[in-house]
Amino acid sequence: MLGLVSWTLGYAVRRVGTPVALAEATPPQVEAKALKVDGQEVGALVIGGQEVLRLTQSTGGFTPSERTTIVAGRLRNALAAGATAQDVKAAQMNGQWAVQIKGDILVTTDEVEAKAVRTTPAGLAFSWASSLSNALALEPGQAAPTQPAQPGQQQPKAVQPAPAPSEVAAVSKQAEPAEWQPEEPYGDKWVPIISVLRGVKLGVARVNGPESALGQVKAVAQLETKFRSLVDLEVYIPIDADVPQSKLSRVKGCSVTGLGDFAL
Amino acid sequence: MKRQRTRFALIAFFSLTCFTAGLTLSPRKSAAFDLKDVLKVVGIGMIVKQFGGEINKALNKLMSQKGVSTDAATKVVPVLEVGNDTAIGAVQVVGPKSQVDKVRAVAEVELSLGNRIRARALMPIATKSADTETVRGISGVGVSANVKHVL
Repeated sequence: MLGLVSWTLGYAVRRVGTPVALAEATPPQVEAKALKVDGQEVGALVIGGQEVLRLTQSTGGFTPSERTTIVAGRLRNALAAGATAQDVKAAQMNGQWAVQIKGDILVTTDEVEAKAVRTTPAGLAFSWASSLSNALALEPGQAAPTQPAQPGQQQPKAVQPAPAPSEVAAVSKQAEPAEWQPEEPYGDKWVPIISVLRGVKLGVARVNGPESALGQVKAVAQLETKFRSLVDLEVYIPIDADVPQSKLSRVKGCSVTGLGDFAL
Repeated sequence: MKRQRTRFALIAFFSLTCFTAGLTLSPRKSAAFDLKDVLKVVGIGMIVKQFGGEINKALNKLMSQKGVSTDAATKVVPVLEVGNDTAIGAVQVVGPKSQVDKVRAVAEVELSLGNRIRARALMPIATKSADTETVRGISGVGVSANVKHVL
């Protein structure tokens, strides 16, 4: 379960720290797979071996797998017409959130589908758009995760250092000029959050940063303080130890891009 | 007639004196009380606008005291729920100055599976709205602190 959350979150935030590379001339392979999860039929859209979204609900008389087949067909057509990762966006049309490619609807989200992962239709469209554009940004043949990443695992990076600010969800039509270019590729991984004061695990954090620095991160230390006695402040410090020591050792260049916790 | 006018003047003077005394002698409101009032009325979005700089300094001071200060630029910005422009919190973002300068807010996507797992993706964005077609992620920037108001 956590792996699935990690995977979904991973692709929702990945483009913040990792680059968007334009797809090569050869369009990535797009597949629609019918799966059974807990006895329920679901459809999975797979791009280059990487699952980017799952449809679990029947709509308009189509089963989830039939809907996925339709989505895959639309995507293939769009890619054949020259669409790229940068043409993917989440947008609201007539009150309904959808993932679009080059202005055409690829797939819509609704309350039922969104509630299955306890988010909103907008959040789901946002997440799917990010996953899809990220998958399309990978070069054909590049290794893609076939299983959800587990906490502590480092996820594969996108191809090149970001030449331009990545688009996360709803993507503007106008191109943004390339300004910032990292010295090395960025990656992400999940690590535990440890309270400095109490020494207990508080949850998990997704850490993003240059790969050389990211490899040193073992945990995120959480400091707590107050501002004017009314505002609680929680400071997240990526550290190179499993447990915070008396002197914290910060791994510079890394920061948090996601938080997760378990309800008791 | 003249007596009535004098009486009215005396009452007016007495009232004014009491009002002035009340103003000058009553306990002064503390800054914390003001902040609480502001929080109640305008919410976290205005707090970021009003006190973001101070909160940022307080966070950096804490990190410096603990020996974990960062060389990167920092800034406090509101957190927006995707699909809803209302600020639901605030965070301190950290990263290269050129990138941090672009950040206007952090978009949050919340996902839960079952009743046990809750996860929040935090994405620094270049707009103050997470409900438009112009939402852009900012590479190289992450969150270094969470600002939670307790009322």
